[in-house]
Parts: sequence; C-alpha cells; structure tokens
Amino acid sequence: MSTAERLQLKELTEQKYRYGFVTDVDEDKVPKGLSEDVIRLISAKKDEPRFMLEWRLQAYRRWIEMEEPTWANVRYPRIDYQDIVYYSAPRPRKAPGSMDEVDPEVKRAFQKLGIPLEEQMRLAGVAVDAVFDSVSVATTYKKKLAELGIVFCSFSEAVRQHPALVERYLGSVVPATDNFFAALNSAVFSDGSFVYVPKGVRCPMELSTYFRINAKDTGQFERTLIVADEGASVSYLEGCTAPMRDENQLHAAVVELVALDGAHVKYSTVQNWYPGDAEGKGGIYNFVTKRGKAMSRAKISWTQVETGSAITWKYPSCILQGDDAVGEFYSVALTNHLQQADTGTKMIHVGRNTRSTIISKGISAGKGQNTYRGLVKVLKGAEGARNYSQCDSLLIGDRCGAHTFPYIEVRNPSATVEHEATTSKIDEEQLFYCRQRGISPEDAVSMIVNGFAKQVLKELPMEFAVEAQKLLGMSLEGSVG
Amino acid sequence: MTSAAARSLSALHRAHAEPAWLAEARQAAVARFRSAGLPTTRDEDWRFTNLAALAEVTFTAPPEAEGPAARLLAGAPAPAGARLVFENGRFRRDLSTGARLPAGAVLASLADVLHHAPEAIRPHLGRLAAPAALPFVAANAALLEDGAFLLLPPGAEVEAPIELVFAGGAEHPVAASPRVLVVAGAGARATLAEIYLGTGDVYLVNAVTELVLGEGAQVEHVKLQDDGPRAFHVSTLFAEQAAASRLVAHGLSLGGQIGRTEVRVRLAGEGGELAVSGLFMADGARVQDAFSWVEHAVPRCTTTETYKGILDGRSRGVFAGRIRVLPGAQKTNARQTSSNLLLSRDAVVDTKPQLEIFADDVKCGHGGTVGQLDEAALFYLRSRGVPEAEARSLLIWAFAAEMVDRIGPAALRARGKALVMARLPAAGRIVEAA
Repeated sequence: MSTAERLQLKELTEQKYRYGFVTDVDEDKVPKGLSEDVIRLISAKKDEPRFMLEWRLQAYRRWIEMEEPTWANVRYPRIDYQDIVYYSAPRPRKAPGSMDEVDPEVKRAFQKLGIPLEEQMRLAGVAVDAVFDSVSVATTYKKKLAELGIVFCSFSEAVRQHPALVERYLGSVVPATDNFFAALNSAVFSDGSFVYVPKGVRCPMELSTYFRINAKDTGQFERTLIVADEGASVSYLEGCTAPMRDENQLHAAVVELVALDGAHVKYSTVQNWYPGDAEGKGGIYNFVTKRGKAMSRAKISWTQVETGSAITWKYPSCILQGDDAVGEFYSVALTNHLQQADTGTKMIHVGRNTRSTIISKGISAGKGQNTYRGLVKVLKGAEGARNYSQCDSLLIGDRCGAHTFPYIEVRNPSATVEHEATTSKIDEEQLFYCRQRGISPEDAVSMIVNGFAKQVLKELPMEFAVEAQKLLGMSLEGSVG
Repeated sequence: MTSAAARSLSALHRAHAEPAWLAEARQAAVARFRSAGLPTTRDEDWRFTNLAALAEVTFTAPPEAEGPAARLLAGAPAPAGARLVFENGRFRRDLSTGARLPAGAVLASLADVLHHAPEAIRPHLGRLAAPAALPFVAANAALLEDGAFLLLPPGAEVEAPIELVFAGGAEHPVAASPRVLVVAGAGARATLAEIYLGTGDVYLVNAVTELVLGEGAQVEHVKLQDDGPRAFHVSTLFAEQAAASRLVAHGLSLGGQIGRTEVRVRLAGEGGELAVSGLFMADGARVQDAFSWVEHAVPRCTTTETYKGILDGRSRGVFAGRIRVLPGAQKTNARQTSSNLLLSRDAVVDTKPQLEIFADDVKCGHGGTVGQLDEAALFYLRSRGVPEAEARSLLIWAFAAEMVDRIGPAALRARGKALVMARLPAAGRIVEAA
C-alpha cells in the first residue's frame, strides 16, 4: 500500500463519530447520587403503584451489599455511583396525541440522527416508541396493535395501565438481584418498553424503539419486558445512537423476554453509541443484562450488531426451560480505536430436546479489544440437548486483540455440544483481488467484513440489515495498512 | 489458611543443610503457600475442581521404612534405558537402573545434586516454576527434597526413553513433592517418561517439572499417571522453548480420586513447535482436571493441543486451556481441541478452551465437543453379534486410541495402552489387527 493510501486510510479510520450532538431540552432532574430517598422520589415522580417501589427498594438494599464484577476482560476507571444523576425526563407536559404535539427539539434530534419518525412510520410500517432520555415521547401505531390486543407502550405506562402483567413478569427472567448492574437497574430504572402479545397472536409489524442518551451526566437505566403468550410471535428491534460526550456515561439496561409455550420472540439490536474518540476519551459504558426464558416449543432469537460504546459488557442469554425450546444468538461485535467489548451469550438447557445455536463474529481494529465469552450449560434433565457454537474473530492491524473464552458445562450424556472458533487476520489475497479490480481499499475492507459478518446480518430484519452494513463499513473503513 | 491439608503441608517445611539461596527460596515459598492456602473453586483456574476432599487430610512426611515401590514395580518389564525410581518422592537407588549416556550428560537424583553440586542447577531450579501465583508450585518449592535432574549438553542424543517412576502410598497419608529439572542444550534430543503409580492409600503427589529446551532441542515428555484410586495427584509441567525447538508432551491421566495435570509452556524463540496432548479417564466420583497454558511470545511458532476425556459413573472431567499470543508474535499457528465422551447419566464435563490474541497475522482456532457413544455404531456392532460390553469397549477404545498412538516409544505406548484397556469393561476381548 502506498503512503498516500495509508494516509487516506488513516483519515478514514479516524473519522469522527457522525452522530455526536447535544440537544437542549428542558429537563426534570433529581439530585446526583443514590439513596432510598432518590428511589422513593423516582417512584413517586412516575406515580408508581406500591409493589414497584417495594421492588426497587429491595433491589437497592441488595445492590449496596454487592460488589462490582471484575471478571470481564475490560479496563475502565472506577465508577463513582454517587456522582450520577439517576433520573432525568423531558419537562412534563401533556402527552402528545400526535406527532405534531411532539417537542420540535426532540423531533429535530431524531432527524439529525437520520431517523425521521414520520418516514420510519410510513416507509417501514414500524411502530416506533421513541425513548428520549427516559420518558417516552411518542408512540405510534398503537391503535392498530390494540385491535389485536397487543400492548406496546412505555414501561411507566404499562406499570400504570397493566400492573397485573408487569407484576407477574417483571423480574421473572432477570431477578432484581441477578447481578450488580441488573440490581442497580432494578432500583433506579427510569423507563423502557413493554410488550405483551396475547395468545396465538402474530404481531403484524416489527416493533421498534430508539433509545437515546441525552442529558449530560445522566446514567441511562432502561428496562424492557417482552411477553409473548402461548403461540404468539413478535419481532422487536432496538437501535441506538448517542451524542458526543467527554465524560463517560454509564448505561445499565435490563431486557427480559418471556416466550410462553410455542411462542417466538426475536430481538434485534444495532448498537452504535458514542465509542469515545481515537484516544479513548469519552464514550459510553454499556453494562447490559439481557435474558430470555423459553417455555415448551418456544423460540428466542437474539441478533446483535455492536459497533459503539467504549465498553460493552453484554451477554444476551436464553434459558431453555421447556421441552423442545430453541435459543439462538447471532452477534457481530466490532471494536476500533480503544474500544473494549466483552460479549457473548449463555445458553442454559433445562428442558428435553432443547436446541441452541451461537454464531459470533468479532472484529478488532485499531487498538480495540474484543472478547467472546459464552456459556453452554446442559443441565441433568436436558435429555437430547443440542448446541452448536461458532465464534470467529477477524483482526485488522497488529495492535488489537481478539479473545475467545467459551465455557461448556455438560451434565447430561445424551447432549451433543460442539464449539468451533477461529481467529485470523483479514485476508490479504481477498484484499488484493478487490484492489486489482479497482475497488478502493476502504470499500474492499468493508466488503470483506460484511462478508465475514453476513451469517449474522442476514438474521436482522431488513430495515436494520441496511443500517448495520453501513455501520460496519463506516466504523472500519481503511483500517488496513 | 484453615484447611488441615494446607496446615499440615506447611508444617512439613524443614530447614535443610543447604546453600543460603535455596533456603531463602524455600522460606519465601512456604510463606507464599501459607498465605495462599489451597485453591478453591472461587479461583478461576480451579473453578470446576473442588479440593474439599483433599483439604481435610492431614499429611505427614514419608516414613523412613521401606514403602511399596518394590512391590508396585514387580512384574514391570525391564526398561530399555535408564530408570530412576522414587518412593513417596525419595530416590530409591537400589530399584533404579543406570544407562550409558552421551559424554557430558548428567542424570542424577536431585537430592544428590543438591548435596554435591547445588551451584550447577542454581540458574535453573525454580526459574520457570516461579511459585508466586500458584499455591501447589509454592508448596512443592517449599518442600522439595528430591527428584531428578537431567542435563543434556548441546547435540547430545539419548535414544532410549529415560523413565522416572514415582511410587506413592504409606500407612498414613503422605505428601511427596518431587521436582524434575531437565536442561536440554542446543540440538539435544531425548525422551523422558514420568510414570506415577501407587497403593490404595490416601496420599498426595505434588510434582513439578521444569523443562528448558535450548535452540533446536527436541524433547518428548510422556506422563503416565496411574496413581492409586484414593490418591491426590497434582502436577505442573513448566517448559520454555528456545528457537526451533520441539516439545511433545503427552499425558494419560487415569488414577487418583482427584487428578490435576497442568502444562505451562512459553514459546520464547522463533520457530518453536509444541504439541500437547492428554487423555483423561475417570469413573466413580473421581475428578480429572487438565489445565494448559501456552504463551506465544515470539513470531512463527506452532502449537497443537489435543485433549480427550472419557467420563463414567459420577465422575467429573475438566479441561481448561489457554493460548496467549502476545503482541508481535506474528505468524503464530495454534490449534486447540477438546473432545469429551460421557458414558453415564451422572458424569459431568466442563470445558473451557480459551484464546487470547494480541497479534493480527495469526491462525488460531479451537474446538470443543461433548457427546456420548454413537448409538448407531453401537447398534451396528450389536446387530453383528458383538455383546454390549465388548461393543462399548471397542467404541471407547476407538475414541481413546488416537491419544495413546501419539506416544512415540513403542514400550511406553504399549504400557499406555495397557493402562487404558485395564479401565474398559471388556477390553480383554478386544484384539487389534496389527
């Protein structure tokens, strides 16, 4: 590669985060720090029923006794949990009845993000529950869904309008005290999305939520709960971008999926939060607990494309509780500059003839460190359980790292568990071939990486697949040299 | 430190008439072991192996009276080369056999060397086996008295395998801490076998082996672990390989109520080649734990790692392997495989193949499988009139044979095969075509 090309590539790799901007919206904040009073205040502000407050307090009391986990293969300065604002919401006003009533500032923010709400609604037929900071500001297509009995609303709304459903399923997959970050989330979560699909109903459209971190120094604690009743099916998309910040922002979300007998839940994520600059300054700390429980013949499928965040700590998991349940995990994780990702999945086989598939593609460039960490556990009763795992890592540049830490724990002899992993650098011959056909280096890398990740990208719903491909290409352009 | 085992082991620490540097090292190691105690399942490296049964044993020093070595060795074929026999960690000259070695080569009991020429081993003893983070290595360093020392000058070639036989067991639970030190000069070549056997008593073998391979040296290390059914076996093999050296390390881990075999290799010179393999078998409530840690520090080295486990009864098999490719170690080629066969409903296997890679121009992969005997194959054999037990034995042997076949010297291979066969239900009737 010539010097000129190298320079050009360097420019491209070091390109700025395109979605960094700050929107000024009047905020309704609670003071910094965490205490029982803050939790009571959050709960009161959200006008929550008694059981929610109790639940939060219980989580908080356990959280203060827990220690922050250190086993992950990521390094970051100690987080001062008392220096965080645990609640912020756009200034309360009358709930908007239509898009016209949505705060113009918020609407502009979405437009800058390239996600015009109206267009999204019109083009893709996607019902968007836009979470701006912590409170939902717009929910669409509600009526159409309501006709089918599907509940798709913000979490706070669900707490108010469907307390029985929330009380029944909240914490049934990720208990309030599951781990340090999940406990923190349980204590202070501000909002999120709630989906309930009744028996036998097939949700006619992809459900989508755009999360966006906004107010400065505000930790974002989302909580998502998706329940698919017997025989129901639903596909849910989550995508994120965040404004540029100098201080690290903490994000500790919890996602719970419940797939009752014969239900299908598909959960797709494209995560493109601010990863910090080339020197590793700023960037989001993303500590997420995602888990689904699949009952008999149910299926849970996780697909994720992780390109953002300074630190990613995330293991979308499946508890295959019922017989013949199926779990899938498709992941592309990309780390560039000084990004660190420790991500993977857990497949817990409890029921008989449960099956799981893990396809993980890690891409490391710059000084990025990418770790796959996964657990396949076959319990004693999981007769005939089957797992196939494939974890491939692609290295671009000689200062990055790719690590693979799979754990396989088998307690039943009839189980068949297979794990395969490879690590290699980007193929010089493929690059050369593309170059000699007149394809620019950055397009060539982008093509090769997209090919490498194809197995996962094809699992994404169409609207997301396009965005994800662009993201991969953008985050990696010119990393070769 | 609260366990009876840890207390009794550190109490075995004695001042010896020895050079100050050794006494100091011993002192530091015992302090290290006292503060660390035995590892627990809270330590990531011991996550799946619970040492509770070991922890409650109070160990004593080996008795002066004659032990079981002579009896255990009776009937064993005479070795083709040298054989050093150790009883509860102490050298038994009377049972050992010498052999002609190339000029300048030394094969001696470690106690002799420590007594007569300690300075000769000072640069090497404990250099690779630094006890800092590893409690069992610290305990060995604190208690080491005897073992074997093999020095091969540059170019020396030893044809016949050198056998080190460690026999264990006594009336009271004894702890042996043998140390083996091998320094192979440039281009030297040798095969070294460590054979562990023992009585039905409760005893502990905590062995540490250090292999230093000079440029282009070739060493085959074969470990046949056939300790008694109630024994605790912990062994740690350290190796450092200079450029273009080749180390082949096989292990059959078959005996003991808890067996732990650690292999820790650092590829420090370009073009080094490492092949590690291990077969472990367990039944009853036994535990076999294979742990390996390989570090590629320089470019152009190759590692192939193959482990197989066969678990029956309520046994537990553990494999944890880590290959680390350090920054700059380009052109590394590494492959890691762990396959496991579960023979019973209550057997358990935990496997953790790990790759940690900090260089880009590498080819690394790992694979792990866990499964049971192939029902179709079993049915086929049964339909041809092969009785169930024979059919099962045949299929288990088919799985295990690959690992035994890796052992180079024919006599050791035959011995390894006999040990595996002895653990199959109807092995007596399996006749292999030549």
